[in-house]
This record gives sequence, C-alpha cells and structure tokens, in this order.
Amino acid sequence: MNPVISIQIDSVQKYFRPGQTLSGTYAFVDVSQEKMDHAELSVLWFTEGKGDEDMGVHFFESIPWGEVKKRNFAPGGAFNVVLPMAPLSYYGKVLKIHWEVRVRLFLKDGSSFGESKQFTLGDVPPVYVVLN
Amino acid sequence: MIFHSLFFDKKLGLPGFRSQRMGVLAELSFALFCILAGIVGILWILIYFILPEWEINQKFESTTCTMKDFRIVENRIFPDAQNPMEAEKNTLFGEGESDESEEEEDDLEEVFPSENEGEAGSEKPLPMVEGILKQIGNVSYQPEIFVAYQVEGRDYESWAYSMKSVLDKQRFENQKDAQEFIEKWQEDGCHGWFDPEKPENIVIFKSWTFENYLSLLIPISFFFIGCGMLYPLRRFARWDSEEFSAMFFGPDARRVRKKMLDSKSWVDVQSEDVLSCLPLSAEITNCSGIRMNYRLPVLDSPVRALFVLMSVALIWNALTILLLTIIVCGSTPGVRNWIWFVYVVPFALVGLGLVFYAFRQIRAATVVGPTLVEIDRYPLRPGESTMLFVSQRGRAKIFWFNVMLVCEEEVVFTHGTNTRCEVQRVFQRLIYGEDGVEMPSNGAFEVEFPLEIPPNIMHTFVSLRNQIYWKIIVQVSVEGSRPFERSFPILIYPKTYDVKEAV
Repeated sequence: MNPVISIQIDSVQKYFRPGQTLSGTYAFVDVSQEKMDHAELSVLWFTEGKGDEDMGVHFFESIPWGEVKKRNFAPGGAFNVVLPMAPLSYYGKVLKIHWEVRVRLFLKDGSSFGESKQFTLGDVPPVYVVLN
Repeated sequence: MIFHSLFFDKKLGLPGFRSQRMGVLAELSFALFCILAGIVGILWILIYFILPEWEINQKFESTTCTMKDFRIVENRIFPDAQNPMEAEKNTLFGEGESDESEEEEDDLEEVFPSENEGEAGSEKPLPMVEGILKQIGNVSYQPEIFVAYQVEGRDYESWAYSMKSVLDKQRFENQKDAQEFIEKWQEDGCHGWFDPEKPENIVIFKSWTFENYLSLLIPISFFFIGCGMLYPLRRFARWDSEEFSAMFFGPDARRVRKKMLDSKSWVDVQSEDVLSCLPLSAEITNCSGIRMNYRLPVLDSPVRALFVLMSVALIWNALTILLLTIIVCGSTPGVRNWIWFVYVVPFALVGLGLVFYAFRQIRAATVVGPTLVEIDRYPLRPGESTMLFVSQRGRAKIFWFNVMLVCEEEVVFTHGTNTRCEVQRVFQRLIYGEDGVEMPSNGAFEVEFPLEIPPNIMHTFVSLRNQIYWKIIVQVSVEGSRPFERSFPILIYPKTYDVKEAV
C-alpha cells in the first residue's frame, strides 16, 4: 500500500496577505518505518497556462526521517512560514500563478510520493480582459 | 491528490523508448557527448591552431635571414602504400645556393617527375577515394628554406617555413606557386621571425587566419546544444524539483544560495525583502527626465529595428549580387545559365522589396521624430497615481494622439522542437487622447497629465518563461505616414498590505 500524505493549513481564510505567517501540519499515514528515507517540505509558487512551467521555491526544508515527529495519529510535522511580498496569486488569460505547500516523502528504494495543498497569496481578482 | 515521483509529467525523453528512465539516459548521454565534443573541439582549435599562430604574431621577433638552400616538399593526403613515410613527406628538389635561380628554373622540369610517374608502382586508392582526393587535391606543396640568421651575435641555421600546426592553409596546389613564394620572399628582403626563448625556432611566413576563429563556432555550438539539452533533464535528477530549483534554477535561487552560504535560518532569509520575480528598477530609474524625475526607456526602438532591416537588406542583396556574378562569370556556357538566371529572379525581387521597405521605414522614422515619456515617481503600486509627461517631436501634422496604459501576459512554450511566444493583452485603458493636434512652432507637442494605477491589479512579474508587464503606449497618426505606436515599460510593484488587518 502506498503511503498517504495529508497537509492541513491552520487558517481557513480566503487568502493570505504578503508578510503573513502560513502555518499548518502534515502527516504520513500507512508508512512502513523501515522503508522511509527522508521527507521534504516546501512552500513555492509555480506558473500554469500556455507557457512552460516556472517555479520559485520560497521555503525548502529536507527532514531526515529520524526528525519526523510522531504526532497525534501518524508521524509528521508542522510548518510556520512568513509569506513573501511577491508574486501574488494570479489567474490570468494565458498565465496563472499558484502558491502551494508541498510535502514529498522519499523511500529508501528511490521512489517518492508527494502531496500538495494550494493557497492564495494576495487578493488580485481573476482577470477579465479590459480593452477600452 | 497522490502522485508518484513527479508532480508534472512533461513529454520528455526520447519517444522511441518505452522506459522514461532509458529515454532520459539516452538524452543525457547525447547531451554529455555534445558538451564533451564541444570542449575537445575548442581545446583542439585553441592549442593547435589559434595559440601557435598568436604566438608567432605576438611573441616572435623579426630578423633578416640569408638563404642557404631550399626545397619543395610534397605532401600527400593518401600516402603511397609501399613506402608511406617517403610518400607522406616527399622532398622533390633542393638547391645548394640561393643565387643560382636560373638553374633552379631549368632544373624544375627535370627534377619534377610527372604525378603519374611518381605514383608508379604504388598501390592506388579505391576509385571512390581517388575521386574525392581529386576533388579536394591529394597533393600539396610546401616550400622550405634553409636559412642562416643571427640572434644576439650567435649564428643559427635552420630549415624554415611556418609552424607545423598552422601549415595546412599555407601549402600550395602546384610546385610553381611554391617556387614563386620563394622568389617573392627573396625579393621582399628575406624576413624571418624567431622565438626569442628558443632562437632555433624560426618561421619565414606568418599570417592571421580568420577561419580558425570562425571554426570555433562549431565546437561552441556543440557545447551550448549539450548544455541546452541538460536543462530540461534537470527535473529527472535525484535532487530534482524543489531542492534543485531552489538552489540553481528558481528565481529565488540567489536567496536560497545566500541562505546556504551564510548558514542563516529560514526566518532570517524570509525577512529579507527580496522580490526576485520583479525586474530591477534600475533600468527605468537610471535616466533623469527634464520635466519629471525619470525618463522611461523606449521598447522596440525604431533605430534598432531600422538597423536590423538595413542589415538584412544589405546582406540579402550582397548575396544576390554575388550569385549573379558567379552565374555571369561562370564557365558553363549555353542554356543552363538562363535557368540559373530565372532561379535568381525571385531573390533579386525580394532584395529590391527589402530596399524599398527599408527606405520607407527610414522616411517614416524621420517624419515622425522621437517620443519622450517621463514619470514623476517610482515605484508605482496599485491604486496610486503619479504625473506623466509625454513629448512628441516632428514636422508633420498630427491627426490623432493617444496614450494608453497596457498590461500584457507573455508566455514562452515549446511546441515539438520549436519555441514559441504568445502575448495576451489583458488590460488596456486610454489615459490621454487628442485629435487634430497643431504642432507648436518649436516642433514638439508636449502634454502633462495624471496617471492613475487601478487598484486590485497584478504587479509586474518576470520569470524564466512567463511574464506580466505593464507599459505606456503612445499611438500617433501623422500626416504622410501610417499610424505608429511606441512602448515604454513601467514597473508596478505589489500593493502593500497591512498584515495585522483581518482577512
């Protein structure tokens, strides 16, 4: 059975403001301790749309399996990241910018599993073309 | 959402491979081969061609020599099979004294055997190889002179011509040319150039070979093609994706590397207000204005476009004329020449069209005159306003004059083997417009008006292949020219948020 990764963002707000702290937790379910190597946590933005993907990593942390704490119901961890000023989340015509928290789990056999949770940075409304 | 290994699977790897890993491995091998071939090629050209020639031209010192003897050496690309050493470097003749030039000429015919005689008894190359050698010239001739010269009072004697590594282009196709070279060398004063560190090394011929530098383009291309192929493969590396991007490829790479170098905590790093997805404002703020604080740079300047257009027209027509000259002066008589003429006609017509278009553009550019846009303050943020000054020079009457605030998304994507760019205009607002403008006597139409940046808009964003940019566009229609527009980029920073404010 493949491991299951769950990510929870503490706040339920519609969007985050630049400079605000993004906090949350992650957990690994159905994990065989012997097979685990390490986990990675990152907070990043990436582009989506017609163009090729660009990505910018705002926060990255590689966590050795020994440091992954046993939480309430499964091993996991917590994060607290101060969000940057830019780029803000954007939903344009041919370009979109998304922010997300990613957690990846690496096994000793070289395979990896990932989970992501998107959030919105800033309050830029979706683009509707204004040409006047 | 659970996914295995890769977050975003792209069609990478060779299509013939069922296994992505094997495909990536094949592409990686090819990329590394290209890089290696490039490096080896660059080093080979540098070490064997460019550096020796540079040394002769820069380091060697001039001297005057006395000719004691000479010889013409025959070099064969396809050496005789029976005696390859002899055939590779075959001394054809030599003379004891330099002043017996008349006898030398007489001896030429005696000493030179005909090529057929020289090859008698030798094993002939395959017919196909023989044909190729006939095309490129199997035999070349290299003059060598036994010179005597003095360096710091000490006598030296040596066989001299040029350095072995730079010889290939300096050999002659026939013996007569080699002989003439020796005669001309004597007439020019018997100059030689010796190595001051090793005076026994002397050359009597030196030159700059442009082709050596040109040939560097081939290995350099290999090198960059290999590097370019490595780039999309980075995502398949073990340390791919976030960690790798964070360190080397992401727009925040500088910040992440700085963190790693300085061993700072992430909290410290995040507190640094580094907006790496925004271009530096220096390009816009480094030029002071006359009426406002900053003069905006112009995008797609007509001067650059005209220069490119003129260059293309010039090169195209030069090539067409060259082609025509070859056809006219060609040795092939008869009907076939007319076929070539017909073939050249479309090229000539395109060349004439380019010249016509270039002159038309020059005329349009000179009729319209330069456009200046100045802005009162920087940086700009959504919801803020500033003053804008626009000046349009020129002699012609202006029919209409518009200034617009525009936002465009620009994305670059690969489609098969092509890289394409698409621009989508997502915001356009007329901020100033006037019809039937009378040009003032000083020849400059000038206007000042407020620029209001709308609230809740996206800031300027630049990443490797995706951009969101804002610009001021000035559109002008003048008498005697088609309407034209000029663009001036502006940077819009993200609006400032009150973090404590509830969302």
